[in-house]
Amino acid sequence: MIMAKKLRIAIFKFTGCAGCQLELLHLEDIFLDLLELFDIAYWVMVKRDNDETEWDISLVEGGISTPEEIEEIKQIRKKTKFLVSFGDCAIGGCIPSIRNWIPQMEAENRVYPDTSNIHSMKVLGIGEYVKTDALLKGCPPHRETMVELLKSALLKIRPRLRQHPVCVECKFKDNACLITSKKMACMGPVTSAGCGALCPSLGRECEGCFGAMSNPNTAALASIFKDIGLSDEDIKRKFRKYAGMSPEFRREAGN
Amino acid sequence: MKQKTINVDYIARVEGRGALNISISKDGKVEDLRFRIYEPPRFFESFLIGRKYDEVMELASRICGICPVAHQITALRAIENAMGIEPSQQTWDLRKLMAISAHIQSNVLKT
Repeated sequence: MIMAKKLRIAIFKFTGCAGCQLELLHLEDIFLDLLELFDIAYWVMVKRDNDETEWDISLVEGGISTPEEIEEIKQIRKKTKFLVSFGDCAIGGCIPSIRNWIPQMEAENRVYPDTSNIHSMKVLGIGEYVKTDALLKGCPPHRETMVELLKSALLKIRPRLRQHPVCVECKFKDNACLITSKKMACMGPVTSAGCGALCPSLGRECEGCFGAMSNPNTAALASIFKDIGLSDEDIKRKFRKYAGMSPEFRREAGN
Repeated sequence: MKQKTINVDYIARVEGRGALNISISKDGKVEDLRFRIYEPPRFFESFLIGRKYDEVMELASRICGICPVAHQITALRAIENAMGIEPSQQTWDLRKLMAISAHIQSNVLKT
């Protein structure tokens, strides 16, 4: 077989923690195989010489929270064929977006005595500013979903990214339901699968770190949480965490 | 020796975004050295106010994707201090083990 030209890949970071990039690097056992198939053209965290011409795939980590970042993401879009929101921050700001409901001045004053050098705005997903071609959900995304996306790119097919809830993965694992058996406030029924039901398999309720599944029944889950004994404030906190900016979770957490 | 300036706009192979500007005089003396971190703030100290005590550890672990364990254990300690909880020796030992494991993992990855 004649191998086609290697796909040029770039990894960028905006307002985030670098955990998604690190998760990519943690594909340790297949990472060298990936290097045979992809040319890592731009990845500042990992290599010194970075090529800024153009890329087949850009994985963008982090939300957008400064005017400079808006300009940068637009430039990246222009030079990229396939742009991926890499992780929850790039999708909708993730945990830092909790502060989007605090007045900007108050958020700044609580942390910095002198805020004259802070040029920060509400943190939003990159999709607010540019067109994105795929979302890799998760905080961080699971390695399997990353590999699925990269494989699909090579085969030029649409990646099979899961839209069903974490509950399905719990069933595959034969886990007893934490909501029905232990009255725990599990976000699994509304949260996108992809983690392999990591937390529920260890007896801990899902916190929703993969964001909203496709068309979730958030009202039903909120009502179950109420029956379990959660206050309205507790419920709001549950939905305003990893994906508080998503329209699905805003229904319960408020605008 | 010539007068020299070194400008690095985006420092590579570290986590976070930073720039470095150095100017060196003719006699080899560093005249100006600026290390600029333009990592956008995320206001953890701000949005953690009003969250529940049992969420803090989980949220604080997202301060850094490279060293989440350090932030997790520190956040846990802060909550324990606030509530006057003294963990058992076994818990201390397990946490220490976790912290050291995180160090080893991180260093193995870098080398």
